[in-house]
Parts: sequence; structure tokens; C-alpha cells
Amino acid sequence: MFQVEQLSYTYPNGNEQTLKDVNFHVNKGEIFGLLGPSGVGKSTTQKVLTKLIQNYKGAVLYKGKDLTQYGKDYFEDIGVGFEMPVHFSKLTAEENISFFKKLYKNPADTDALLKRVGLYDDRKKKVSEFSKGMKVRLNFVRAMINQPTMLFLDEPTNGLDPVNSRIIKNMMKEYRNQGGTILLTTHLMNDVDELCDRVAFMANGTIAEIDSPKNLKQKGSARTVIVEYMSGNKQKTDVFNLDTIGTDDAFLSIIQQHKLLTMHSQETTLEDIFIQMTGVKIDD
Amino acid sequence: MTNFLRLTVGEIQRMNKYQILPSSLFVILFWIGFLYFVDDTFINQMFAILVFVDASIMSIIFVGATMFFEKQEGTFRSLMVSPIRKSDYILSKGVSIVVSNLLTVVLLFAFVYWVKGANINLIGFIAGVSLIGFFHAILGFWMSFYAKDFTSLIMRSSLYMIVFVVPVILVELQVIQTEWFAYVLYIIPTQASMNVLNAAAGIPLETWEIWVSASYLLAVTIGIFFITLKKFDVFAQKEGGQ
Repeated sequence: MFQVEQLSYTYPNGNEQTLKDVNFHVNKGEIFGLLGPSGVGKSTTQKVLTKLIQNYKGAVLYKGKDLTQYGKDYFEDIGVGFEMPVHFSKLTAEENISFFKKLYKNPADTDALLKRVGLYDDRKKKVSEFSKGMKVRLNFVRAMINQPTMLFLDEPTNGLDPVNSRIIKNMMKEYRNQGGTILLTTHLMNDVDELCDRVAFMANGTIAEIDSPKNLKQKGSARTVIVEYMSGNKQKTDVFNLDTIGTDDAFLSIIQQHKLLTMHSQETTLEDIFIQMTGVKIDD
Repeated sequence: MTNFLRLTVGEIQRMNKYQILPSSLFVILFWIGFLYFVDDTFINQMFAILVFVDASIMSIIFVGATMFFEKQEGTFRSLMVSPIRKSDYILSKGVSIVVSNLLTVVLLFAFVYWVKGANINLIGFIAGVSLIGFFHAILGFWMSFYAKDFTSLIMRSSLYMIVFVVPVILVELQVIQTEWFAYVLYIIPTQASMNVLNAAAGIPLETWEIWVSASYLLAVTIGIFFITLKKFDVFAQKEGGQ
């Protein structure tokens, strides 16, 4: 879908390059996560791909054609969900959606979308009366308004309660399963783990690592198992090598003769990988 | 309907929702009150001056207001990832402001025609105001590129008014009667605007003055439109991309 080669960009009046020779590709029909702490260039990368930034160096190909060769029809093909609300606050949700919908050749059934995200009954309300979560859901409807084949989503579940977050994530999965492609930017590692087929970690304007969440976790994992068990009246903990555990007499003895409390393989989390790759904690 | 028309209709609807058109109507009421007390002998001249102020300075402020609402609410970004031409976006701003200007002209005309019995060339005013309002709307759009916030735009508009609008009105009201100064004013588009409106108001002008003024105004309007179009990518990147 996208091929990004040697992408570099420096903001006007900026002293340093924000993007430094960024290379990656996004396959059709996948959810591709772009992760990293604030200021490493992931939003800038997304802005290049959505043509909000144009005077970059390097090449960006969309469906095999240079992005600079696309005119306004490019926006018929993509949907963009911004992190911040992007609605006319003095207009109702319906008026906002109606205005943007009319700009597209192939509009979606927006009533169905509003119903799905639970905003249909509130469609006559002014957006200024909406809660943060309602605005986030309306952002998602705005992104899907033209039945895009490529979707850019920036923190699409940020500020949503678990029920609405689940609805949006299910819609993203359905979209992917129907052949749609998503470039997802988020800080929520659980979302990344659940949704993304591949993820790219960005650090200092470059891509530090790209792989599937599963492979990344396996790469970063210690091949050990920690076993907690009762030995008499005392609680004990032992660590065993995962590769030899089936023939490890000590381990076999423990599971046969003692009461086990817990047993965990030391699979790393995406959050640990995030910190390792970027050197920054999620909260930062 | 083309996207240009959809953008224009949407812009006019939002000017109403965001109280820009109602504000314009309030200003019209104020001016009607003012015209009520103007002697019938000077009604045509005052009508032209009020329309001149509305189509110039008010156009800059109103288009600036719409731009700042869009920037503040992030809708500018949303528009920039929509399938619209940048020229359509800029033109829709200009045309919707002209609609507001024409509303002023028609309502003020109705008042001076029915109440004061003035004889004014409405078609001439509609043509003149369309050109003047459009020029100033694009100028306001361009000025909002460089204004950090709405207060900053108001400051710039005030400066424009002091330098380009007030001297023209002072000459028009014969407060300034120096002949060379009146000719110096011919280099600024606001004097051309005043001349075009004076012609429509039936104030005697040389034919060449009318044609030169109209041609000059048309030329600077085309010029500022293309300058704005050229600068728009930088602006869009600044507002949408940073």
C-alpha cells in the first residue's frame, strides 16, 4: 500500500531533522502501528503520508505511484482520524457529518456509522455539548465517511470508556478483515497488541525496529519460567530454563510433589519493548 | 453541485451559526440609524462611504473570524484532508463574504430608497461591492496567514484602516483638501474602491477615472488571489502539519 524510502524532513526554522532516512512499508489489508514517544517523528510521518506536509526528501509511494503525483482524488481514497477533535462546535454532529460527506464521491452510510458508535440519538446535538469520548467517536465516523481504502488513525480510543473502546476496536478489525489498511498511532500498548499485524518503533526520527507484536515479544523475552510453590509451610520461588524444562528433574519434582502457587513464562510486554527501544517510559 | 458550491454554502451556514451574519445585521441596523439622521443632500455620498467601510474593513475582520474558528477547532486540518482544491477553498471564503456584503448593500439600499427617497444605481453597487468585498476578503485571508491570533488580526486590520481606509474617507468628506494628496491616494486600492462606489452612487467622476479604478481593482484582486494561492501551501503546512 505504502512504500516509504529514505524519508527525511526538517520543519521550517527547525535546526534538526525531525525525520532521518525513515524506511518502511505498509501492506494492503494490515493494521500497521507506528509507535514512539512524543516528538520522535511519528506524527510528522503520518502528516507526510496524509499530504499535510509536502516538501520532504526521499520517496513515498502509494499503490506504486509517487505521492506527489496524486491530486485531490487521493483524499477520496484515504480517511484520517485526528487525535484532537476536528468538528465545527456550533454545528450539530449531523450537520458536521453532512457537510463533509457531501465533499466525497463515494460517501458511507453515516447513519449506520453513527448508530454503530452510539451517537445516532445525539446527532441533533451541537458538538460543543459533546463529551470528549463522543467527540473521539465522531472523529472516527469522520474518518470513515468516504469508505476509504486506507485509514490513518491517531489515538482512536484515547478518552473512550471500555465499552466504546471495544466498539471502535471491533470496527477497526472488521475494516481490516474487509481488506482495509490502517496506519495506527497510539500510546496504548494493549490496543497495539490486540490490533496490529506489524508495528514500527520510532526513536530520534528513525525506525528503531519493525516486526509483528508476537515476534517482538518473543525476541525480547527471557527463555525462563518462574515457578512459585509451597515447600512445607514456606513459599519458594525457582527459575527454570524454558528450553530444557521438559527434562529438568528439579522442575518435574516440584510439579509432582509440591503445591504450585503460580507459574509464568517470562514473555516481555510491548511496553517493556517500547521503553527498551525508545528509552522513554509510556507516561513520558 | 461542485465542491466549490458546497464549500460556499457550508461557509455561509457557518457564518450564520457562528454569529458572523447576525453581527453583520447588527452593524447594518447601526448604519441605518446613522443614515436616518443624514441630510438627504449627502445621502448618496454617505451611502457609498458606509458600503465602502463594510466591503473593506468588515470583510477583512469577518473572513479572519472564520479562519480563526477553523484553526481553533481543528476543522482546517479536516478540510485539508478532504478532496477539495485549494483554489475552491479560498474562493469559497471570498464569495461567502461577498454574500454578506451584498446583504448589507440591499438592506441599506432598501432603507435609503424607501425612507430617504435616494436615487442609487443598485446594479452598479452590487458589481462594485462584489469586487471590493472579494478583494478585501482575500486580503483578510492572506493577513490571517501571518496573524498569530484573532487579536493580532484585529491589530493588523486597524493598521490597514488607518493607512488605507481613513485617508480615503477624509478626502471624500473634504476634511483633507490638498489636491496632490488626493492623487497620491490613487496608488492604493481603497481609493479605487471608493471611486467605483462613488460612480454607482451618481457622484460625478471622469469616465477614465471609473475605468482606471475598476481595472486597477480587478488587477489587484487577481494579483492577491494568485499570491494567496501560491502562499497557501506554506500556510496549510503550518496550520495542518505542525
